[in-house]
Amino acid sequence: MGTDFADQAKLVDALRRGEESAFAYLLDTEDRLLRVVARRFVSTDAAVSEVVADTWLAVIEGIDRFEGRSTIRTWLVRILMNKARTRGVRDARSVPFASLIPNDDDLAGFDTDQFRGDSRRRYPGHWTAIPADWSTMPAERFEASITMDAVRSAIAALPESQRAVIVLRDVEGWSSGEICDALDLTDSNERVLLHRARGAVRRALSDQIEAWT
Amino acid sequence: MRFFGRRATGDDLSCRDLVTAITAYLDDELEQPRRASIQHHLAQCDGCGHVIDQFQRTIGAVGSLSADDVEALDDTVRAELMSAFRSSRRRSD
Repeated sequence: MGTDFADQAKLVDALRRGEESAFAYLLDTEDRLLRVVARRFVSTDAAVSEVVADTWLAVIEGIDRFEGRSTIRTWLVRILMNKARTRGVRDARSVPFASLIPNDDDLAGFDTDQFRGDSRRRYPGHWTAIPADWSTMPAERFEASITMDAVRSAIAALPESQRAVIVLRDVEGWSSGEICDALDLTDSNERVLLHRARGAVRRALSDQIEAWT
Repeated sequence: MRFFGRRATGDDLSCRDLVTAITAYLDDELEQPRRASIQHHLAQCDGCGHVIDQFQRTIGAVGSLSADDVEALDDTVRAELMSAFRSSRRRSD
């Protein structure tokens, strides 16, 4: 008793020794994380519970193989993503790897024609019309449940890799290093995926709150 | 003079350039002099200022999903997992 399970090495040692309090600690501290992430990948509460339970069973079976090179929570999310994938998450719009190279099309949900063309003599690449000033819009529009539903739908419609990155970064507040570790991404790929994901959600928010009726 | 929200200066960073770099800028992952040129552009461009605000509000809206109800771990499932842990450790002894 009294082991400091916040110390990862001690926690892993205790798990391997079969200390039940260590496993209970892990369940209590990380089950919520797994549910929040799983919720963006499978559609029903029942499916969330199944994927999370499968993850915990894999953790029990695999704790001896955990090498401690990553944090335990990135390892948990790695397992969760594999379980979600084998359940067949919707990923019809999976991004080919080559398209992860940053390019001029990463316009954060703005259209090309919102910028002046390169052939224009003056101000190429500048706005053709100023984007809306959201700070002047009533707060109710941002807080309305219909707005939050639009955000959820936009996230649900993202390709799997973008969805995983935006949830870990902007919902769970992970560092880009942890995300790269959990999802096997390079820093630059993580940034491109995050930028595209935020851009798509920004676009959905824009469609919702600027067209408010 | 301002042209669609931007004063005419010698600044060669376009609004389009700024939009593509916005995530790296907001997450403080840009090196100088790129960072300084974005700050310089923002000081003069209302449109890009609005986009920074749009992005920050977008990030805030996504962050608020953490308050979405997720069901707590069910006591029965928890007991089953504890039992699975117990028997797995016994097997490996």
